Amino acid sequence: MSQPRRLRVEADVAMCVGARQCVLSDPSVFGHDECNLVEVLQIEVDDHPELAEAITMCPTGALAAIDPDTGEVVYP
Amino acid sequence: MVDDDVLSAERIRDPYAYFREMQSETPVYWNSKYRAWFVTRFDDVTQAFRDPRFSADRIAAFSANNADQDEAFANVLHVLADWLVFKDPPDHTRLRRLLQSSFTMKEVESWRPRIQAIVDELIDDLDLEHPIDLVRDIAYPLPAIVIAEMLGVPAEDRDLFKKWSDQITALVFGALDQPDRREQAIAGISELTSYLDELIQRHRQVGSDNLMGSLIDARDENDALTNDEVLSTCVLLLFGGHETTTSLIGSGMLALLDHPGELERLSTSPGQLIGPAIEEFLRYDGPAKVSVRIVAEVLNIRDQSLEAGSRVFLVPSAANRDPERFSNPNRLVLDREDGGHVGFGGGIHYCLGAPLARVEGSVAIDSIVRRIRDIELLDRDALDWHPTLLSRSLLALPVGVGDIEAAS
Repeated sequence: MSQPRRLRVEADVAMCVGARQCVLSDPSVFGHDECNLVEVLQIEVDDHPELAEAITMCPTGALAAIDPDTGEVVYP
Repeated sequence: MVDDDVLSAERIRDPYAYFREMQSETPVYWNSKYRAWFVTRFDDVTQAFRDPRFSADRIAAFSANNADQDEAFANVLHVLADWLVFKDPPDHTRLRRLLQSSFTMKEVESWRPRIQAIVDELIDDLDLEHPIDLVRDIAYPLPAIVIAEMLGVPAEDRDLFKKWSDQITALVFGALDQPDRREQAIAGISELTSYLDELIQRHRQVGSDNLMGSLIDARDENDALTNDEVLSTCVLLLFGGHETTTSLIGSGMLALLDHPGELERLSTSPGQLIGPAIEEFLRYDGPAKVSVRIVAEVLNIRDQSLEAGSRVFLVPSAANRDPERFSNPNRLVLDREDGGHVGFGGGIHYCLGAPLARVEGSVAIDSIVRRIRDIELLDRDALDWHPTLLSRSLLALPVGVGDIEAAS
């Protein structure tokens, strides 16, 4: 079985509206500050299904997961 | 304030001067006519949208105040109570999760080619022998057709939805000048729900890959929408996916006609300008005028203390023109550097349909300004808006036009 790939998680706080879908999908990677805006808790993580869901569910497209080696946008 | 009426003819035509005065003099203002706090500063409105102490459940209070309600009206409230716009966590969280998965940006983006085809068809069908009304001919039918197709409503039944939608709109958006709005809403909701009930059963039996099918099939672990929730949600989507987007397209076109330089810039730009332009239309004259909340526990905004149970009107129309947040707030600047707005609200109730509204608005306005030559307003002073408290929506936008270019 191959190793899950490492991904870099990016959040554009200027685009965040505090809908909190990411926090509900993947609380290991996404939290929120006292203004209820997104905070990335782990910047580099192994790929996992909850991460894909969290990024896809963002209503403003503020989140992305990038392959740090190639720069490829893996999610969304 | 001398006069608290938000629904006077003058303020329906232009609410901005009134809100501007309120914002600079009393940013947290008790309006005794509506027995509600008006919150108008950008920062206050943004924070309130994200603050769980502002409850969205105004149906419970409304039901309690209408305890003498008859059975028919109770049914209306029953359907509305299942709308996630009127729910707080944890009920809201559950419903929103189930719906959000059917309404991602990716899902909506896959509809873009179909939306373009519908817009092209509507423009091709314009009857140049008669006056064009951009609301009636494009802004109204587009979102109605799209949401009906997304839910799998047969094309021949679409006209039924206009009648029902108009009836329900009057109640929800607070058309206080229509004394029979309660009876209208009862008739509209009961006809619409029995129609949808049949449609849902049909989809359940045969299965379908449209939005209705995905609502029926939506699962969050072992959780799913009940039949009542699918039905209420369909009513919400039909209605929410409709009136507001019509308003966005109508107001956006009017803003351009009022700013000919910006119209020229958009119609000759290679396509990058339409994205920021839609955001600016939402800021400058967006569909959401007022958003209602109930104070769940006592709280302070600026120097005002708001008691639990009191009603709060968050005012995006005012916040989006706050001079502390935007330079030249009353001017339309399509690619404004200090962009952003609260036109879709914020926090957990951030507009579910925002991605769809953005795609529909972009495709419609981009196609109109590219394909229709020499658009001009026929009579600026004769324009009129729906007389509602919560939304801002043009009744009609009659224009003169020159040639129409073929779709590319």
